[in-house]
Amino acid sequence: MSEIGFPPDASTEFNEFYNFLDKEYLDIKESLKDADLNPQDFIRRESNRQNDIELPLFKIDSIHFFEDYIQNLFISLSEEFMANNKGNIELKDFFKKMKSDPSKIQKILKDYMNGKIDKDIDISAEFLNSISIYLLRPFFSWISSNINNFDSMTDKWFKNYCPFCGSKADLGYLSNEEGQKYLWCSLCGTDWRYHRFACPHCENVAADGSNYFIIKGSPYKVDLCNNCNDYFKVVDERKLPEEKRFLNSWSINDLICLHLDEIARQEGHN
Amino acid sequence: MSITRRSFLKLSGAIAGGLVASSKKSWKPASAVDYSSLKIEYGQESTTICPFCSVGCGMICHVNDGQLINVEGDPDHPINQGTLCTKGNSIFNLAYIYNDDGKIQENPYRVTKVFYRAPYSGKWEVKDWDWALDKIASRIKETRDETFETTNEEGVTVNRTTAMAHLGSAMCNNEETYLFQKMARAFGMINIDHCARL
Repeated sequence: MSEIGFPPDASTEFNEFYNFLDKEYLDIKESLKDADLNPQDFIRRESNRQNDIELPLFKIDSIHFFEDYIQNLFISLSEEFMANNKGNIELKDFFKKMKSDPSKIQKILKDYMNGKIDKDIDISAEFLNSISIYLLRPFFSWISSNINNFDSMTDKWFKNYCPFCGSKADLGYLSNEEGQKYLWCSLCGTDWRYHRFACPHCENVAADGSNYFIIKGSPYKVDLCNNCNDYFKVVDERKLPEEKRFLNSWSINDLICLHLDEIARQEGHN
Repeated sequence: MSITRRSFLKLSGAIAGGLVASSKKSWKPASAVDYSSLKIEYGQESTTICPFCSVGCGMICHVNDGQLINVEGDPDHPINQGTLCTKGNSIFNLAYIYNDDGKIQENPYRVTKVFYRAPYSGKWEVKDWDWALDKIASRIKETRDETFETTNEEGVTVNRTTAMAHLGSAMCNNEETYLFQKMARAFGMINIDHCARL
């Protein structure tokens, strides 16, 4: 029987790409320290309750404050992608078009936050999804780590969308303290408290017991929903060696959790 | 939006690695693991309340094929918020223990029958419940009849016995406990207490 350690060995392509992202994000973080930007300007100050729905904090229209930073990050990302995909004309055309009109990127990102994709853009939806996420993450991370009392908000949120940006989660963890369930935002990486027995996709609470499977010898658990037939990946921090708990972050799990999707699909879940 | 990160991550990694142009190349997010040989274990988790004391801590029971495999504190329960006392933590061992091979087996020390040791005897005898209940009832009546006081030394009516005491169990709920203390007072007991009187 094979076992998966924590973290499992990632393939060279993944490691290189994430090393590149780490470096870019670190540079952005450093430059934002000196920038004349106030994190409070990016979040809703008025009541965030509308029609009984609590809205996430981030104001989508405020993306334009990061215009220059996003443009620079976009150029770096496009160069990284093209260096590995020289023969891909579709990608080449897309990056060329975007570089010629920087405002287009802002529009793509705003559309993305509103759940839309511009039909005129001749590139796959999956690619637009990924590039939007990589462009937004460092800025969302900067804002959420600098706004007042955000931690106390995330500990009481208990909703299936991110308190900061409103995105759903595909991954969560059980805390090392008492096994509380936290969800990780798939867009900005914010973690917030959630019900242990509720499905983060359909919010159904399994009254007669919740099903799951584990990979023996690993800290991973996959919760299965009988209502929507979806699944949700969870890392059980209590099963991690103490010296490796600091590694349990959304970014490291970004890298390594795909095998769980593969197994869940093999087991007949969406 | 119909696309999810499940598809985008794979695609991003492929793009970063230069594999988009050649769809024939194999691609895996993590290396050195043969997924087909991983051992998958299914389970079901459901909530319950600890039966030991009246605090009423929430617990999560993990079951596999009808077999209890683990018990932990329920982090969403308002009373204990995931914690359990030492006794609650060991509740799994009420029914099961791990044998020398690390496998779960029924706890051979769990008492499931009535054991009786007669006065001055060195041996335990197995009895049935009807016998035990009749014995308890007759001893209560015998003791009460022998020791019941209607008045005290000053002539005040007391209708009591000090030869028996009643200790309530935290495994009983509030209504059961109320009935038990009514019964104890009807017998004339004045020494009434409860194991959860903290």
